[in-house]
Amino acid sequence: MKLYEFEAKNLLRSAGINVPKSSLLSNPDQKVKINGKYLGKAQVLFGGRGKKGLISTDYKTLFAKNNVDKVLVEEFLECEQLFYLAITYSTKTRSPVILFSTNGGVDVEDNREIEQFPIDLENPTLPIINSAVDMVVKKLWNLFKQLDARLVEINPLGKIGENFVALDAKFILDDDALYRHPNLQFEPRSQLGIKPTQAEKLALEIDKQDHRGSAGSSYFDLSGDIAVIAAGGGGSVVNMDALIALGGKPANYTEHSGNPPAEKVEKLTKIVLSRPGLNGLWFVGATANFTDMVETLSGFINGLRTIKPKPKYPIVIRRGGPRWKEAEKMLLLIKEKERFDFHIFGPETPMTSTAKIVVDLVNKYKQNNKRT
Amino acid sequence: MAILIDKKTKVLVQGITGKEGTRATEQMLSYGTAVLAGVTPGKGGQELLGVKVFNSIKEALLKNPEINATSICVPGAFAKNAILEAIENKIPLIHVLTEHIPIADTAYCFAKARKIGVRIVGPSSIGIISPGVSKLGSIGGPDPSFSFSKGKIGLISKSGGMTSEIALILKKAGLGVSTAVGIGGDVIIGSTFADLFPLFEEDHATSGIIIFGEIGGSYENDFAKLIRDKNPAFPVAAFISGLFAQKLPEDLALGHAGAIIEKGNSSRAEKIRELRKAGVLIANTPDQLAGFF
Repeated sequence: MKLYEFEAKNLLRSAGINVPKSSLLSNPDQKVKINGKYLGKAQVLFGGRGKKGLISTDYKTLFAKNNVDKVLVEEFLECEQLFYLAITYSTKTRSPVILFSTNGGVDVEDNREIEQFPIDLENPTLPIINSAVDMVVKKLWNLFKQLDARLVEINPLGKIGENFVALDAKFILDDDALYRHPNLQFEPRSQLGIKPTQAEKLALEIDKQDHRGSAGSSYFDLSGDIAVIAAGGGGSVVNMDALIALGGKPANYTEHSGNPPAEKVEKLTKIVLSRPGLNGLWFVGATANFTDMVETLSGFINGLRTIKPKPKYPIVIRRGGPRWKEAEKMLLLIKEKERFDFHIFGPETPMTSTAKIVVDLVNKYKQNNKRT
Repeated sequence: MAILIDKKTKVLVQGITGKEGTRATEQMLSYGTAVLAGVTPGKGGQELLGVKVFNSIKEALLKNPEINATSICVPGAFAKNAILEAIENKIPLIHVLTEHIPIADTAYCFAKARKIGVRIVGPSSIGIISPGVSKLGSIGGPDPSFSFSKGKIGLISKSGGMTSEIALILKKAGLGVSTAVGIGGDVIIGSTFADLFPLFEEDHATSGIIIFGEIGGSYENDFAKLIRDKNPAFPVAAFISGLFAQKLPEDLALGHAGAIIEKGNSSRAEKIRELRKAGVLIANTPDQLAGFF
């Protein structure tokens, strides 16, 4: 989970690392309690705010920008030097790594002089950089461990005399470790770093209420007209690749995996198909190792049946795995009785080749609709 | 021959009485894998599917000293202790099926395993299979022979579902697999593509390698570098997913924790470029992979 700057700075302050005096505003008319020069910073979860006009002394105007709910107004501090300090995990060393540069600030990623210090967790010793910085490193390292963070970044870390101040901060917490931190309460946020849509919020709730398997914890709306219900963290991405390569326009991304119960798939199906303007649906996944096909597809059917008006667009289903043959029989029966435009494929058809099938069917459906 | 597991592999299942553990045990037994014992703290003395359950690995090893592999199927919150227990007992092959283990826990276990000199495969690994010989974990589901046929291709994949899918593509093309290893898609994994390559290289039954990679991290790039240095005599092919992610706003985490769009060498384009330079054959869709062999 990405944290907003003000959230990260609250954590830094509690860890004993200096941050500028500030007022957090949620509307432009709130009072700012800062003497002297100040700077308004829109609280958003994506970077490059300066270039996007989201940092300004005229802080009231920031509320008019997209996706801005909160503005952090901070005292403006003159610094002698701007450093860069971060701790994250490196796949090169498969360990935490401390990143440090005396040349921090904007575009630090283009800076080739970032020093990397891998930390051996078997015998952790922190690097010796210089005595003043080392104190900040130690506090940040403790915070990194304490929060189960994936990234704690201070950029820039301003030097004023012998003191250091965190002028900006970017934290990412490990979602898989949040259960260890019940005291950390943050408002919900989208994976895209912008405000979640209604469908995204609803999809997130599915896994929160029921921990068996997963469905919907990765869901986001896209701008196309082909609804997608994909299976498997790996396979879902492969299928989206194939769809996009063929010019298909997905209406959403979502995945389910780990044998979720039928009710969860039903909920996800309802959310995915609630979108207006759909011209097709692709229910697709690799040959499952242990996800029960009858369970999964029963959930899908139950969700599909609730959609009003009844979908007339083509529905391409490609799956395989435990009890697929039974599931296939069930689908064929429903196709005949309830007259859905099902196109059913099992493991004998390569998964990604059904991308072309769905794109062709959707194009045909759109042409026919135009004529009538 | 095969890598990592063969007929001599004697398996312990940690978390055997849980849902995942029971399922994996049932599948392994029906595939002919020698599952000698299980561990669930507090449930020692029970028997499950004919396999004796112990309270600790130490007790299990006392009765079954020939155990040389473990499959860990405990919930994420208990995984760190389970892995550390396996490391302390020096089980040489530690397969971790568990998903959603905090990165900090995995990183600590990996550092410990490296020091002690044991191998972790996973976390989030569907398993390992040497078709017709043995399997570890849930790979291939209840009927592995549906997807996995015996053959000469070594398969290493970050995705469990795609491991079976690619195996099925190979089977239909009249090819097969020597050993398939699901390495998991987490940020930190115990065995990478590059870690497993030397094993396949020495294996007489393997005469080709396929990897399934994703965006994020550097494991595919490390593999490319190794292939470039080694210049193997047999074909090496890869499929790297993530074309779709390139079209999304930056910094989006997809299903696999490791598949995070990072700067520089972690993009799909950069990985493919590095792999191509190393002579690795790149498939645009998974079904093209069979055509390289």
